[in-house]
Amino acid sequence: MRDLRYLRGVTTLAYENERCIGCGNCILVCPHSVFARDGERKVRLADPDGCMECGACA
Amino acid sequence: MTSCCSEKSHDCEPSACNCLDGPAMPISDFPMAGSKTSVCCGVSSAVAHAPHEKPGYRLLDFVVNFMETPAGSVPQVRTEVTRADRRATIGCRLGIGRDRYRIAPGIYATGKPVADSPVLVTANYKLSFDVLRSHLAGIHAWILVVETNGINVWCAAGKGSFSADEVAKQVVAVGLDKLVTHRRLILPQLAATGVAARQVKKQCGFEVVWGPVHARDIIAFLDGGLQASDAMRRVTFNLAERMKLIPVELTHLGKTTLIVLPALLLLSGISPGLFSIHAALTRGMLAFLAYLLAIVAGTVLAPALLPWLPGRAFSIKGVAIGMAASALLAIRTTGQLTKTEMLALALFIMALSSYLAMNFTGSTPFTSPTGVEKEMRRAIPAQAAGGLIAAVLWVSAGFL
Repeated sequence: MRDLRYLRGVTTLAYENERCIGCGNCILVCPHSVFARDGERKVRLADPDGCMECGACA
Repeated sequence: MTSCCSEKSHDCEPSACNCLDGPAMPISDFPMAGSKTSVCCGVSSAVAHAPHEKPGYRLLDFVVNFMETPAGSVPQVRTEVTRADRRATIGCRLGIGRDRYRIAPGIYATGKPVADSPVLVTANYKLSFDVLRSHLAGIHAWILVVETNGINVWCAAGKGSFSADEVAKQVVAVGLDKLVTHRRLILPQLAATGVAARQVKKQCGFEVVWGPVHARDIIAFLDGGLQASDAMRRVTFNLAERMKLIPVELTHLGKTTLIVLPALLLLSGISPGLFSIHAALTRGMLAFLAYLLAIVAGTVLAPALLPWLPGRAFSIKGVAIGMAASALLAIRTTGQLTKTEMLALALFIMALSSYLAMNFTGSTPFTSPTGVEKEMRRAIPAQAAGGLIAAVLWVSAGFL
C-alpha cells in the first residue's frame, strides 16, 4: 500500500505510552503496518499517516 | 461512500434451501427398488443418487456429505468452486442478489476434521465463505460461520455484527467444546476491527489466534505453526482488486441516469423561442455524451488508475481524469460546440468525475473516515459550484 496513500496528518490515532503493556497485538492486527516495536516492552507509531482508522488495534 | 458496507439489516427468513438448520439424516435407498435395478416402466433408473434428500429441503450444492460428530451432524463442504458459485459471484459483483447472499451460520467441515483440527471462523456472506473453502483443498478443518447478515468479514467487523459476542454465541450454539479438544479459534485478521479477543476468551473459553488477511495464505499460515508473515498481515489494493469493484459502482448509477437524461434534455432545449425540441435533442445528446464520459472517468478510470493519478484526495484525482475526458470530448466534437458550450461541458465533466471518484473512498481499504470527512467538506461545495456554473453556461449558450 506504499503506492496508495491518503490525506496526511488527519488520523485520530493516538498512542498512550503509559497505558501500553507491550503485548504487541496492535502490530499483529494492523493491516497497514502502522505500529513497530520500540524496545522490549513498548511500540511506536512508525507510520501514522498509513492509518485508516479501522479500529483493529483499539 | 458506503458501497461496501451495506447497513441494511437483512431479514433472516428461514429459506427452504437451508437444509443445514437441522440435522439432515441420511436416507437409505428404498429397499425394494434398489438404485441399480429398475422395477417399474422398464426404463433404467436415471434418478441421481441423493442420499441426503429430505422432504421440504434442498441440499446446497457445496455440501458433499454429512459427518456424525459428538456435536451432531456436520455438513462437509467441497473446496472446489462450481460454475453456479461463479455465476452467483459475478451476480454479486453486478449488485444482483448481493444483499441476500448468505448461508446459515453454524459449523461446517472441509475434509475429515478430527478433535484436534483447526477451527477457522468466517462471516456468513456466501462470497467470503466460498473464498475461504476454495483455499482449503486437502485441509481437514472445521469452519465456524458466524451471523453477519450476509456481510463480508471486514465490513461486518466495522459495523459491529462480527463481534466477540457473536463468535462466542456460535461457539456455544454449535457445542464446539464437544467437537474439538483444543480451545483455539483462528479468526481472519480483519475481524480484529470488531472482535475483542479477550472478550471471546472470557465468554466461551476459546483463545483467538489472528490468521492472515487473505484466505489464500491460510495453508501457509497453518503449515507455519500459526505464524503469518508481514506480507500476509497487510491489505493490498492492486489493479485486479480495484477492477472487481467497478461493476457494482456502475449499477448504482442506473437510477441516477434515469433522472439525469431528461434533465439534460430539458436544459438543452431552453432557447430564445422558449423551448426547442431540435436543440433539446442535438445539444441534449452532446450533454449526455459528456455525462457518460464523466462516468467512465470518475467510476471506471479513477479507480483503475488510482495510484497514478495526481493528488491524494480522490476529488482531485477525479478532476484530473475528468480533464482528460474533457479534452477527448473537445477533440471528438470539433466544430459542433461553441467555446461557451465546451467550457460548460468540461466543467460538468470535471465536477461529476470528481464527485464519482470521491464516492470510491467508501470502497477502498486505506482511506480513513476522518480524512474522507475532511475531503468531502471541501470538495462538495466546489463540485456543486462547478455543476451549477456549468448549467448556467450551458443554458445561456443556447441564447448566444
